[in-house]
Amino acid sequence: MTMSGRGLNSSRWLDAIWEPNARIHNVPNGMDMLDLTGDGDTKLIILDLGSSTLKDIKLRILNGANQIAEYTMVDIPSSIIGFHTENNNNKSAVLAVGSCSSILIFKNLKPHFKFCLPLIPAHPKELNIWYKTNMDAELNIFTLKDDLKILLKEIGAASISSRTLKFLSLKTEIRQNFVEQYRKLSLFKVNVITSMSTIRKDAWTEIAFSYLVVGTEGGEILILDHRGFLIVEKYIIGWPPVAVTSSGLWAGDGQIALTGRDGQIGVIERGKTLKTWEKLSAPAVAMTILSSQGVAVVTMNSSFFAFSKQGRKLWKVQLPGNPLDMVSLPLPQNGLFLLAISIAGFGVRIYDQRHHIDTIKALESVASLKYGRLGQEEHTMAMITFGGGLNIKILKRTADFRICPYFNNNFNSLNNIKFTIPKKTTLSIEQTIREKSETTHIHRTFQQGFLRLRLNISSKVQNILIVEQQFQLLPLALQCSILGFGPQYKIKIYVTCLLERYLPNKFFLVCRNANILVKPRVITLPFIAVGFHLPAIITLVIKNRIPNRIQILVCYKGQLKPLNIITITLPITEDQIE
Amino acid sequence: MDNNILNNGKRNEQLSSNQSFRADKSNKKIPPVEEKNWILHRYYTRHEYEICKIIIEQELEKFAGLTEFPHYLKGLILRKEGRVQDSFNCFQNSYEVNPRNVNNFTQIAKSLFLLGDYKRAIEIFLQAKKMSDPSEWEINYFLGECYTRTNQLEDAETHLIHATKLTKNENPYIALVKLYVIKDRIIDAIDIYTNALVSIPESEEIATELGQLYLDVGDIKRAFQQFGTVLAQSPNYTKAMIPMAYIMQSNGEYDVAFSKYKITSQSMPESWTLWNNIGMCLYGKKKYVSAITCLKRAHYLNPLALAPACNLGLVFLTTGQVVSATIYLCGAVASGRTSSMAYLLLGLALKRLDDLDGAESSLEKAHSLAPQDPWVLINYAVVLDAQKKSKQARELLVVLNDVNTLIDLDLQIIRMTKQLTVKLQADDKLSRPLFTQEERSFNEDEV
Repeated sequence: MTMSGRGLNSSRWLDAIWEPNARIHNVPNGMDMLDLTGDGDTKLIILDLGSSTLKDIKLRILNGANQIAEYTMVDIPSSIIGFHTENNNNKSAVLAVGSCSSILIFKNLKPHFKFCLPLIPAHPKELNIWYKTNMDAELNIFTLKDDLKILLKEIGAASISSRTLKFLSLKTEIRQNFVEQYRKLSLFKVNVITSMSTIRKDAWTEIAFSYLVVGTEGGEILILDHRGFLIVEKYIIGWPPVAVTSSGLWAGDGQIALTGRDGQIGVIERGKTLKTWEKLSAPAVAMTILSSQGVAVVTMNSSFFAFSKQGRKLWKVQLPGNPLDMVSLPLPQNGLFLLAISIAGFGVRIYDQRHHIDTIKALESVASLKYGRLGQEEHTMAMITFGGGLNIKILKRTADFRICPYFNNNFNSLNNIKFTIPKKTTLSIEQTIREKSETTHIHRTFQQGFLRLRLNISSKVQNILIVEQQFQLLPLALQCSILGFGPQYKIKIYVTCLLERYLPNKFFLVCRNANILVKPRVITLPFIAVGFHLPAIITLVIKNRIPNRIQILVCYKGQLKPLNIITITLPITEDQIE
Repeated sequence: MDNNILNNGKRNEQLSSNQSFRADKSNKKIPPVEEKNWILHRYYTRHEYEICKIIIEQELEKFAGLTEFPHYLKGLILRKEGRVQDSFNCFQNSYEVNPRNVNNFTQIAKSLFLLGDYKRAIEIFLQAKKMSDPSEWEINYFLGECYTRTNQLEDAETHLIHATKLTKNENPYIALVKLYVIKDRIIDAIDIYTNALVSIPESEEIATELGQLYLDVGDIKRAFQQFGTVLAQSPNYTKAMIPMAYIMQSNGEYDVAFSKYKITSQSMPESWTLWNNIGMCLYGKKKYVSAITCLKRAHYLNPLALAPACNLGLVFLTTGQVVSATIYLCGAVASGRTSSMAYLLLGLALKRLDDLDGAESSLEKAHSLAPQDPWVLINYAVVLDAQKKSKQARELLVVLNDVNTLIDLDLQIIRMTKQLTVKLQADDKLSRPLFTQEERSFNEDEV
């Protein structure tokens, strides 16, 4: 399918920059567009994770395709986001980088401030153990190790500090040094940032004061005020949020939606506890807001869901491939609120509500997306591909999403379907003619050959069974009785050991028959003592009215030939009395 | 709010002018264990399992396996790759590291469930149930599945019903219905789906399954409605499209059915049911050569399935390729030992190959499987007559007359019965062989 329908002879998107060798390794939430200097020229800020194994991590700031600044990162930043700290002041732009347990703030292209997440106090028992170690004049790392190991078993790794875990994972010879180095320091558990977002405080203006919303590994949502770097509010949710998005004004009806690693999803409103919704069927890949209606989520199992603010499922669309990222495309001048979803192998698809209306084709799959104002252009889409290429496209001012080439998809595609019925070869046609003329002859020849083959095989098998298996005396006696009138019967078999010793438990009984339901078909015999009668019961259900025979084979594990075969003729089923 | 003690000790620190945050006296800092969890999860959700595994190994090495999440995620990845036993070991490791997390319990139990050890799975699920939030439905659902498989149907039912009350997920409903189908409580099963559709009206799967149930109980009208609603909602939902086309095909609307199959073939080109139905559709349109090729593809895709083999036999009989028909019908008989239709067709084929003994035994088998089937009766009678066993043939005709009083028979059968009766009455001495072929138009389309 071509990107444009017949009514459209060109794409809705203009190519602005295509830099295939930019070598940027980026994941969702690792890109933003922000006017950092306040000169009206919006820059693209990209978090470059270097390589997939996370070496050489850099923060790159680009003006167009030119890099204007670069910062090396020590930790691995999980997300970056730009926001304003004053209403209507474009000089107040701030860039926040959530990196491990701290948030780095950049202002005016320069590092400005580093905010550390509050440390989590260590478990009292753990604290106690380390305290004792600190107090002891002589350091005994073996008791310390044992104490900590017991503690780990008791409270689980989730509530233990990384110092203890590191200590336990060290080799014995370096433990001493390690403890010497750390025991004087106070013990804390460090929190890690997993996701970040912002929420407007009280103004709808284009440049508005926003709070920073931070999700942590400890299962909290923190609302931060940049001015004093205060934690304004804190919500306990119990699981680490992997994606956070917000809508509305925090002072008003603002809502923060979040989703967890196992597909949990829920919302927080100011002053209220987390309200969870029906769990997603698979973990979310990306989440974004859906105009004023609620949130949109794409999940690992290639589904695209929309939820209302109250958590009602609005729709579910099956995507053609694995989603990689999703962003919202607000187009207020057209009265539209679109969504762009990057799908592996299918480029970037644009959805209006649940309808697929446009596709941005890309040579490689797009790893992350960002839509917004860039440079002087209002509507730009920045895309970073898996190969590390940077692709920036601008939405044409004339773009009209009302003409939807995909809308009548089903009707158009019907005619385009390639459907071929497999063809017959000339050879097979010739064979057909021959078959029709010499039916009986062919059949006879085939049957003769087939019978001969079967005969050969049976004689070979017979040969093997007779020649290669030694005949053994049967150490077991079997006594069978049939119970019932049919069509259900029970066969009771008494197995008795005849030898003067215990038999190994390698004997088993097999029922052989046709047209009868038998349960169980195989009975493994346990150890049997001398002279002991072991009862075994087989249930049969006969399906038709033909006289049936059933064979019970006594077998020994590892031996091909049955030791004994008992044939039982079953009585014909009596008619059911109604 | 205790904001005043934020431990933000680095606040007064002067920033150096070299445009970077000062490294945090870092030789004393131990990186937190959870530092890379977010990126692991990110890679996992993007199906980048290879990178994920590399980082997991690095992390496990760094903390000598004392980290919970990497073990857990490795387990999830290995399970996706089909290595259930290995993933089970990973979940056990993560349980060792953190015995307090319910997720570790449930994942271990799920692994046992996948490995088929239902009894142990049940034990662990019950343990997890005690630890978890009472509104968690998944454990109940899996308990239901386990109990179904260990044949403790009562327990299974209670757990599944409980699960359906807690969630809007489709799985518990589907499992519950399967349970009811096992217990032969089809009415209850239909009730469950109808109720489910009230709370999850958007579920295509449940709507389709409900249609399928209606189809199974023979309520074709309701089934048609059900599939219609599904297709109105999402016109390309193939699971509903095939049965819909099947219904149309049984009503003789071959062209409509064919166009539906065409669409379906795009998404599931390797479905033998689809090719079987296409084949029979073409047979209905009397395009025998195409029908044969399509059915052969179906047979190729699943050589052990009864329907394509049986249908191939039928089409070959129609086109007069009796030898090929016999071969496929032998296959059909081997795979479906309870299908009277396969035996009947085989009997007919053998009769045309002058193998009257074979035909007789095949039809005897068909008769034993379906003693009331008029087609079997008449054909068996004809063959018995040809084998000069007129007494048995007469008995069959008596049965056939009885059947005739109960249901309306096909004209062809009635005509044939008359001829045969006349011939048998004309007496044994005047044994004029009567070779007439009986065939039944056969539409066994598996859905």
